[in-house]
Amino acid sequence: MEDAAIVDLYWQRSDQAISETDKKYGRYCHTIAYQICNDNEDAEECVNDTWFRAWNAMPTNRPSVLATFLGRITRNLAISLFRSKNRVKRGGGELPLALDELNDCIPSDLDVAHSYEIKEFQQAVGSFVASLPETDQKIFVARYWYMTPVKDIARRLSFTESKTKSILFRLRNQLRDRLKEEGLW
Amino acid sequence: MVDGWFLLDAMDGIHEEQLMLTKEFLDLSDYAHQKRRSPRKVWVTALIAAILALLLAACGYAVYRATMAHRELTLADEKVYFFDGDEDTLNEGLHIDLNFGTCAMALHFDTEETGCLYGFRITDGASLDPAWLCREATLKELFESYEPGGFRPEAQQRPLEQCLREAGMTEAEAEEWYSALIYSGDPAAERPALRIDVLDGPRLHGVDLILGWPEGKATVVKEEAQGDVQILETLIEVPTNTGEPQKTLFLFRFDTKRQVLLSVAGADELLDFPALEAIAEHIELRETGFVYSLDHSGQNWSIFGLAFG
Repeated sequence: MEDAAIVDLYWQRSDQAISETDKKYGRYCHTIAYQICNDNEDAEECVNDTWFRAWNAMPTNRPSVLATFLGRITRNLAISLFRSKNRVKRGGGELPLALDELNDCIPSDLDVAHSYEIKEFQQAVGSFVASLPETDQKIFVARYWYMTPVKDIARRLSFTESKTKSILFRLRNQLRDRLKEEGLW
Repeated sequence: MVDGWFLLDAMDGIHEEQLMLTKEFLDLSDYAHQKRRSPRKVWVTALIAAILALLLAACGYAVYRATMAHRELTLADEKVYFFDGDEDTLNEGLHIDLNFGTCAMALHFDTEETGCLYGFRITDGASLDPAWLCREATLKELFESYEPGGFRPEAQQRPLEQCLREAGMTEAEAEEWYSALIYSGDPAAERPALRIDVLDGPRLHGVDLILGWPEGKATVVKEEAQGDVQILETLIEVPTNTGEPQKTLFLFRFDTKRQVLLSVAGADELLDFPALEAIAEHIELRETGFVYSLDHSGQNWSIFGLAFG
C-alpha cells in the first residue's frame, strides 16, 4: 500500500492503518529499535509504541515521508528506553560504542557552563551530512542514526573494518571542525 | 550538558534524503539474527497495545497503586539535601543542609520513578476571574525546557516538535494545558491569592513536599478517600513579624491509579475550603503520552507553598 493511502487510514481512524504500517515498516522500525536497545522485547515495545504515537499524531500531522516519520519516532523511543534502563553502564549493543565515538566530536576545551541550542546543532549536522560524498553519507548515517555495527557497514561496502573505522574517525573530526567553524562551540 | 547523548539528539537533524538513501543501502530486512515475530502476531500485538494504551489513557497510567501520606516533621529530619539550581552551579549542584525540624508537615508520595507527564486546564463554569491570572506555566514551556532526565530551563533543549510528537499533542494544545496557574488580585501582593499545580509521578518520586517552612503549624481539616482519589485539606499557619500568622489553605487530590497530584492552594483571607473544592471540581487533568523520569540531583525534599516562584 502506498504511504499516502496508509496516512489516509490514520486520518480516517481506521484500525487497518496499524496493520498496514506494520506490514510495510515493521521490520524497518524494529531494526532501528533493536540496534539501539540490543533487546528483542524492548525493540518490539518500541515498535508498538511507535504505532500508537503515529496514531495519536495523525491527524493533525500528514508526514511527507512516512518511513522516516516512523523511524524518527522509533529511534527517539528506543533511545529514551535505553536511557531509562540505564543500559549504558551495563554495556551491550551499539549505542554505548557510538556514544563513545561521538565524544570525539566534542572539543576538549569546551565551555561546559555554556548553554547550547540543540536546534542549531541539528541544523548543522543536517547540512554537514548533506554536504558529504554519497558513500560517506551512508557510512555516517548508518553508524550514528541507525546505529549499525561497523563490521556490517564494512561488509556492505566491501571495505575492511579498519578502513571503515578510519573513515568514521575522519568524518567525526570533520564534523567537530564544521561545528567549530559555524561558531557552535 | 554537551555529551554523546546531545550529539545523538543532534543527529535528528539529518535530512530525509540521507535517511532514505541509507535505509536502501542497509537493506534492513537482511538482519536475520532478529527474532521478529510473525506479521499476524505483530498485528495483534500492535492492536492490543494501541487499545490498551487508549484504555490506560482513559483509566489511568498503570495498575501500580501509589499512595499519599503525611506526617509531622521532627528533628530527625534535620539534615537533608537541597539543590540550589543557580546558573553557576546548575551542573554540579550545590548541597546545603537545612533544618526542617520545625516545619509543619511533610507529604510523602509512593510513586513510580517513570510516568506520564500530566497537564490541566480550567473548564467552563469555574468562577475564576481571568483578570486575576498573573502567571502560567504551560506544557509547551515545559517541553521547550525539557532535557532527558529533567525540566531545567538553563539546560540543553530538545526540539519542541520531538517532545510534542511523543506527547501526542499539537503546539496549540500544549499552550492550552498547564502545569501551574497562579492568580493574584493585587500585582503588588507578596504572595498569590490562589495557586493551582499538577504534579505527576516522576516529579513526586523520592521527593517529599514540605509545608509550612521554616516554622509552621498544620491542621488537617479533612482527610478521606473517594474511590481512587485521596483527599487532604490542611490549614498551614506560619508566624510573621506582625504577630498574626499567615494562613494558607491547601486542598490536595491525589489519584492513586494515575499517580498524579492536584494541588489547589489559597490565601485564607480571600478563600475558604468550599471555594477551593469548587475550583478543583472544574479542573480537567490530561495525561500526555510523554513518558519521562526526573533526575532530582540528590534533592529529596521540596518546599511547597503559596508562592509566585
